[in-house]
Amino acid sequence: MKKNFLRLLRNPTAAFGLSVLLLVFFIAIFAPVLTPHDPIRGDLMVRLRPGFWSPLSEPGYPLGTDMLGRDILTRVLYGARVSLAVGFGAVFFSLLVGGSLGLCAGFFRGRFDDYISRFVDWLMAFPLLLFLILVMGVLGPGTWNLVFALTLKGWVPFFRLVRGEVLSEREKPYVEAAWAIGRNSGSIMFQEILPNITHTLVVLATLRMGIVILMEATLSFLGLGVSPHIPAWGSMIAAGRGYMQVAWWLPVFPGLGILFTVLSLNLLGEGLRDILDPRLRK
Amino acid sequence: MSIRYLIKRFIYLIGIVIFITLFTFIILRISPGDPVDMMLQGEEKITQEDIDRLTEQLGLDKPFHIQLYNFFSGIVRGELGYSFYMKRLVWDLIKERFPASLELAIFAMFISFVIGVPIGIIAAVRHNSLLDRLIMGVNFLGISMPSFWFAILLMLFFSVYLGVLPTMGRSVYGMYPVNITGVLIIDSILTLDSKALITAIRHLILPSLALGMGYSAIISRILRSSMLEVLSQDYITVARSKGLKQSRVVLRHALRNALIPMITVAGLEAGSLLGGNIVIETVFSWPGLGSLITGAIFARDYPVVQAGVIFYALVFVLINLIVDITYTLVDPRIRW
Repeated sequence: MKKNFLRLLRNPTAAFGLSVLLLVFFIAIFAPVLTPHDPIRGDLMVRLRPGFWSPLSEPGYPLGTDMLGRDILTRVLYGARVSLAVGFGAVFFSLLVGGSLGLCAGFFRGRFDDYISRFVDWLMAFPLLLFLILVMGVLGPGTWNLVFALTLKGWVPFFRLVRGEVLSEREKPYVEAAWAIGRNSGSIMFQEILPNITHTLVVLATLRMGIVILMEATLSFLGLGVSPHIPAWGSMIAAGRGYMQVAWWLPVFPGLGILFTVLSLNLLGEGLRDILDPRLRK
Repeated sequence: MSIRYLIKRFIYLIGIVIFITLFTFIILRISPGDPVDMMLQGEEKITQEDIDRLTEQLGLDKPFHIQLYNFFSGIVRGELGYSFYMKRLVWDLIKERFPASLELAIFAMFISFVIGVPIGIIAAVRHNSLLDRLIMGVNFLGISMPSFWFAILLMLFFSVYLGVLPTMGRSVYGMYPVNITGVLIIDSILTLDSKALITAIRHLILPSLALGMGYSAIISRILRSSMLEVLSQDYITVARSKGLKQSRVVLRHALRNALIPMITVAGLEAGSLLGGNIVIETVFSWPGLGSLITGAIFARDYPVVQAGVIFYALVFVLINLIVDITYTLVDPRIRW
């Protein structure tokens, strides 16, 4: 574990990804301490003010203000909370559902595996964004609804990965040895096979979180994300779009938040893949 | 390719379409928000009789299984129903909107190939160089960037700052060519209308760049890795030792063999470009199928949503089938 962590720090892309991600986490957790402004209530006297780059800027608002006089920096900081919370929630539940089903399907095979694999094939044929728009259109905006919708299709990649890994692991000598000494299927699945496939799951979870955050931002942009009063990067871009002729900073900064967060996850995921997957290790 | 395989794939295709139809039908029926209430919103003096009459007209008074039966039998007869709101045949709406989505998807795909393929080849040939690292870095940015945000950046630069390209719609009033196929570029070429052609292309540039940029990053990544694999093969060494020019080795010998993973990506891309352009259509007010479906979901216009989703799914599955068939044409070793 310690060895892998050191290897991670020595890998420049992974180390960069991890640092940016930790920074985003820090921002999300300590947003109320980091900024004196309220993310929801603004000061109409300072609406649509540019930031530090302009002589017209208002002191205390380094990235400018929006159409309601709210501080853009504050809202971007608070926006990290939504993206990370939804990203973590959806990936956690997807991992739980997809991982458990994949473990059972790969281990027991038979009819259960057939049915569930067929169902997965069908679900895969449903274009992701269309599926999410449909489900969120029906459920309505909300953080939990978003996590639910993203999990509803998000478990599929975890299922496919775990099933495939378990299918190959269960034929290996250490599993045969476990059977031979009289271990039951539950303990073989959770104590023998699961630890051997954890590393691939970690890589997939990291990469999936980037995709989930992009989807969350897209849905928020379309007005189908979290509740409208919560500052989210996607909805900030949507609201700022109407003012881009006069205030370009409104849609630009929340987008940078998404870009850096997803980029850090992708770089970390790639780095982790290099480190944890011995087949790919150079 | 055996007939048996094709039949099997066709049955599978029907299964998927039935599944998606059923899923869409159920999820719309269990959703909160009654289409009748939404249609009558804002109307004055509504009586219970009005509500009942409208519910009956829309067929929503019948039990769930009858509604489902009616819907499926309608599909078999080729009837997708009437839009609750637009009071028009859903099929007509799809026919009207689909060419716009198709035009955007094809143009975006074209752009993604024009950018992605050369970049992928250069990165592979100059493996581990500064250029390769730079390309890979930009690629990471491309796949980490939300397409709608990139679209807004493009609008800010080309429309707001430079003022050279339009930000909305497919064309401007009075510049539409005579409608033949519904695809403006083709129609303007067929009618030799150069002004309409230029206007249509100008309107297409930003949305297709926004849509195609992320995909060009994916294409160049896949092509780079498959080219790297191919370039280390013995036959490439043989080709080089015969004294062939680098460009001939790369383009004729290596690229051809590195194309198979590309076809998979291109196929999946074509499907997701059609699905993924929903958000780009919204950003650019592009009158395509995606914006039709999004609007219909908000308005609970069941027939439009159902038909739109089925249509998308059908296109998606058909493209996958075409990709599988194309494999055999590109690589004669693959037989189904």
